Amino acid sequence: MGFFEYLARNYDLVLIELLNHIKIIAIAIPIAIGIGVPIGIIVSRNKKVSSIALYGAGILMTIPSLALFGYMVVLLAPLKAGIGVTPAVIALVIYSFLPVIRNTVVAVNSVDPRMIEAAKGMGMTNRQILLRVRLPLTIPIIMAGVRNAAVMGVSVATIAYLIGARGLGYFIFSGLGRSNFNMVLLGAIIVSALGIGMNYGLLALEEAITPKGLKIERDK
Amino acid sequence: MSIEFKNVVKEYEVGLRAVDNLNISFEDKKLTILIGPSGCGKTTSLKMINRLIEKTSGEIIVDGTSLDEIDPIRLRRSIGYVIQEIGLFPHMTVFDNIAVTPRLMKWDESRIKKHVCDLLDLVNLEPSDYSEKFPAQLSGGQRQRVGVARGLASDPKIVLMDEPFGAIDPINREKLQDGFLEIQSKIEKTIIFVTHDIREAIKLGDKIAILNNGKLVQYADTMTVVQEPANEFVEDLLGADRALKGLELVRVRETYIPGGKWIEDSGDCRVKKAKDFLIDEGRKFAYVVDGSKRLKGYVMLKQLNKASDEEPLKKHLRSIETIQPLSNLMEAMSLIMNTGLSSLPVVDDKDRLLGILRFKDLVNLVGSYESSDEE
Amino acid sequence: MEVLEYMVENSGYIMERFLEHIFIFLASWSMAVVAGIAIAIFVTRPGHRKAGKLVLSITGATQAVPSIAVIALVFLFMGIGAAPAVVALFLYSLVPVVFNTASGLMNVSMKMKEAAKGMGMTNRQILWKVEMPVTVPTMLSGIRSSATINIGTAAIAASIGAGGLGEIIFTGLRMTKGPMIIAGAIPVTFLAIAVDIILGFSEKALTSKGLRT
Repeated sequence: MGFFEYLARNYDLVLIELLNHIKIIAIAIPIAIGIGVPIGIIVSRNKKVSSIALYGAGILMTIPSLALFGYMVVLLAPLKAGIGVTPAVIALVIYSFLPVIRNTVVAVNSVDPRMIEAAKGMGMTNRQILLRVRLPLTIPIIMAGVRNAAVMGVSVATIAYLIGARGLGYFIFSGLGRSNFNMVLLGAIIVSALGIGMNYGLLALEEAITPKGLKIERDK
Repeated sequence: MSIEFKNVVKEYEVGLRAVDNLNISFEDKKLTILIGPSGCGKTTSLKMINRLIEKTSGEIIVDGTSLDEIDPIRLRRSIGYVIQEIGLFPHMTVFDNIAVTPRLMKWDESRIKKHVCDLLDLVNLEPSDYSEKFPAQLSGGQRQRVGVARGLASDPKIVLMDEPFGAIDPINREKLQDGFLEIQSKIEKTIIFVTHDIREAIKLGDKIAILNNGKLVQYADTMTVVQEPANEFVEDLLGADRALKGLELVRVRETYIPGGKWIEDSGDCRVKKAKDFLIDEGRKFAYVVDGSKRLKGYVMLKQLNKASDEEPLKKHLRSIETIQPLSNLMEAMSLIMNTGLSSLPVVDDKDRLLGILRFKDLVNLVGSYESSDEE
Repeated sequence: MEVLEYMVENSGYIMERFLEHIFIFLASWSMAVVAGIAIAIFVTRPGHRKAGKLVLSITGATQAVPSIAVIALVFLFMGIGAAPAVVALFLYSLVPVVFNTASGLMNVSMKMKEAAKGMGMTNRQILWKVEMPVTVPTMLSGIRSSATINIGTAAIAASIGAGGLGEIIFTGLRMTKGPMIIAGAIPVTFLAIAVDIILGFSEKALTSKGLRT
């Protein structure tokens, strides 16, 4: 059976697993933002605290994904959450801490206090300062961290197949188990395309929300 | 060492000449300024001397030898090169930055060490304080001084400087220029200096070469350029206040009137003697010096008339600003304006009165530049 | 407790997998570092500007490719075993080394390179005395992340029969034997964190003081 024949026959399955795959990322990323951004904002006030937080997040990031899933299978077993989507989401949230917190800290520090003073001086309310000055300047930077996390999510979600989270890892690992070359090839191509596509898609979004004035400065 | 350009052409694209048939001869041990609007070919001309840019045709001769016959790497090691401060290497200390070329030339370390310390002294950076610092730890002005020291490191006879002070704020630029003038008076190198700042050109240059569209517009002594601009282009470059700028070029030494009659007061002089002196000379005021000719101040007839004859003169002495022979006339002008007097005493570094500088002479000088303007 | 028990009972087996893991890691990673730096230098030499930009965008894009995809693709060509695993890990570790080194080299300011040239450095001297030292911090951080990624990916490579500590975890997962899973996860975590810390220290030691901010 040729590769394309295999693809045609399993078209539905590819779509289902693709959705499963994206589901893991789609659940994990908002959680990562919800936890990581506030942490980033809090620790950014103190250089020492932020460097400790980033060091910790860096170490979490270093834990090999297979090992992290191993821990969760065992540790979450008593809660009946050791396998499935939950540990996959938790793992991705943990890995997202570094990029999200780091970029939040950078973003917060990139806003010059004199600029805020100028905004106050012109009579902006705190709410207006947040919406019109702080957010437009910081969101693109935080978005870059989110993009890193989401791209990592494609990879993490693939491995998560091993702990029963389904997703595109099915084609690769199942294919390896059965020595089905078409399956393995299909899986490898789709996850690669998804990773690259996710990166470029979010990069485009980042471009779209970056104020023009900042781009001029950067492109110089 | 002299540098001679013979029919030098640089074409970046066919037909587009950045430097168009340039003939110029840079004199030995002089500081020559290359100036003109951006795109005039000044930087291109400079970089053709150390072959960072290769000329399209023509010939450049350094001390009788055509540049084409010298290996570019060896050539560059023998020519000093100073650019804006960003050219310093951030991963090297101040010492290592300056030692780059001597090390490339394989001097022994002890000689390098002594030489680097001498150079730091020359640019007014205490070697023990600055040797081990990194560029990131220095101010812009300090970095630029390191840049100058680095350019002089191989003991070059020729130094090329490409807008070295361009990135520095005006106040510090002024200081760097003063320091650099002092250095140049000690080292006497042949220096080619690119700038777009006419004030810098007049202040630093022995000679000025003005370029436009790759062609030489005027090449002369700085004074000549200021007094006799070759055409409208040069006049515009000099700006409306060029007559005043000319004052920066002339030192007090060349304009003041040495000698004169002064009141000598060794401490016991009475008012009567001074009054008689002023009346005899028909003057309204006079300088007072002590026994070793050191300037003490001045007295005015108007005030002495109100005093009784036997009072000590000391009581009526008024202090006054002085100027030294090496200062330029621009500084003198502003002092005269401040004091409101018609002349300024010229003293040496031990405060001994040498003569006077008259406001009248300054005005005449400015007038002479202006009249040449109208010719 | 059960974990400890398992570890003691199977210490010989775990040790073997541990050494296997280190071997696979060191073999693939060290080749990737050497080849990666060489590639980065080659594509950033004057005259190769286009090649440099191309390599940057290729390595930039492939950083988004999941490691398991590379393992899977190499499996298709080479089958199972340690050799295809080393090849896959080599290729995957190459990416951050090339990307970081090449982008570091391309970011060295033109002014600085011109100053070096003007002072009479040869192209080789400019590379080794100016460009490389300035690039060191960026390059080392690429080498460091390639090491930790490599160790984590080597665990996954057990799925194509590479051996190593991943094998213990995979077997444990298949047999749902908790202690065995943990017995594989702990040493591989330890290895990754230890290597990261060691490389972090050498990063600091090898970076010129003038470049630290």
